[in-house]
Amino acid sequence: MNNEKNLNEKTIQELKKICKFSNNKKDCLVYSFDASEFKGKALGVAWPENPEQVKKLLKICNKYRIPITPRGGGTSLTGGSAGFNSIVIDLSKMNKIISLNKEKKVVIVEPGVVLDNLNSLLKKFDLIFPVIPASHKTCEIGGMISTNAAGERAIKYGKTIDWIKSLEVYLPNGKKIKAKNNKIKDFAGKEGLNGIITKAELRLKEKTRTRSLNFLKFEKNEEIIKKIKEIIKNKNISAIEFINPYCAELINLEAKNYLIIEYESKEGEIKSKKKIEKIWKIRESCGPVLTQKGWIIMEDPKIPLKKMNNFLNFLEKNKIPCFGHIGIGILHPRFQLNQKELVKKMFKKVKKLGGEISGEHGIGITKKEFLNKKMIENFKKMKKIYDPYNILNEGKVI
Amino acid sequence: MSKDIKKCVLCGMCKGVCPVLKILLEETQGPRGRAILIKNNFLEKEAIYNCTLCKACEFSCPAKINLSEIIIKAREELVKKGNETKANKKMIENIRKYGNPYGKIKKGEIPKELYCC
Repeated sequence: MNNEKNLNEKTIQELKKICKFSNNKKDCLVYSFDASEFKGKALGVAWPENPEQVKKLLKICNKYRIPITPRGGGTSLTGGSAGFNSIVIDLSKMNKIISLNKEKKVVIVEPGVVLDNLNSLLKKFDLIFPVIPASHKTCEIGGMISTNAAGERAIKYGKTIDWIKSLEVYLPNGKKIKAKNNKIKDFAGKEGLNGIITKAELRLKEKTRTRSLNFLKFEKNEEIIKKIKEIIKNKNISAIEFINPYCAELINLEAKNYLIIEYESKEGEIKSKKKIEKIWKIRESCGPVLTQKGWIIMEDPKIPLKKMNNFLNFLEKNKIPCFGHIGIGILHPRFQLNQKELVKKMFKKVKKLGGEISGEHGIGITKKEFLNKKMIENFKKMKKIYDPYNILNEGKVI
Repeated sequence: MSKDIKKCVLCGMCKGVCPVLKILLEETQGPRGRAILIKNNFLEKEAIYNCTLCKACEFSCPAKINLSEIIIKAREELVKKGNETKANKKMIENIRKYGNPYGKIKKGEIPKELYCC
């Protein structure tokens, strides 16, 4: 467990020589939070503007064994980017799009590039980075890589890791490495535990021109599973999204189960661009409306399709509003702040069904207690290789 | 503290549209940073005063929080305690004294200093 730490004046002065660094009360307070309910304690905040400064920050912190929390857009829902008796390294100022090769469909970016900013540039060239999580307006590429973010179209385009060609990473000892092929997974999805990403070479795709939708209503849970099994092998499908009756009621739809099936072809019945946008708006309103109505806690369990019916029945029995990317098994059940026991009960159910406690948000600090021994051992093995003094995200995940 | 700010769940959806944050790139200088400060009763003048009150954050807020009104109230609190920024003090002083925020200037003259919040 991470203990109370303080920075001494000498260290503060050394850090201030590297880049903008603050340990004033306001910055420490703000960086003790992210988008989760967790409140940590930032000891200071550093804003590097280039890889060389990241290297120097890492070396000093490694020398004095000062814990570091790397941070991008701060949209972690698990406390992953909140300071935790640590110095927060905010990479938002490293936001350059370094190069774009239109022919090869490859872009090299710094970690602080906001996803929407990247895609609005790529739009001019008819290209897109197709992994689009709900936080696309604010999430940064570094954070997407570290949590291996997914999104609505993950059924076709997978997760962030599937689009990484290579990564430039700095380790706590200041060594720079280029992660390619198998090495990428040592950093993508590892929540900043093994190194700080300073550059990412990403694959892109051409923008999709044809889309159509089916918006289907179901009475029973088993009917949904039957439908998904029927269509799941269709390669033209780019999203299968779900809304359960409790969620539907809260967004003013009839209290039924709904599936939104998106095709990158003309197979869907709804072809008008306006109607497609309208239906996506309904789906995208789920999160904000539920938040407004007090269903603040959002989880992201991943359930195997063959057990999905059982899980949907559990949600129904406990009156839990839920929506999510059912096509890839990731759902977003929502809870009120006084329902923490029910959250625990749900995670027990997830484990019993052979599911994963986090499909896309990561473990951070709020889900540590639900991590299984095998995963902890795997993380620890990698820590020994990359971060033997355990300065990166100490106290998080493991 | 405004009741409205308690509805803020720190989702960060406001961050992408804030013109101040886009330039300064420091969370403390953006809408969520200000919300955290206000929620924690820590009214820090620089962060509270560098909001442009453009309301862009309000359009992207899923909880529909009127952050600009909350900022204005926070400024009122700071003024009551005499903790507003020097620029704000000077601006008010100039308005009272000269009828404009720039101080003593002749017609057509470009003000040497721009005092505004």
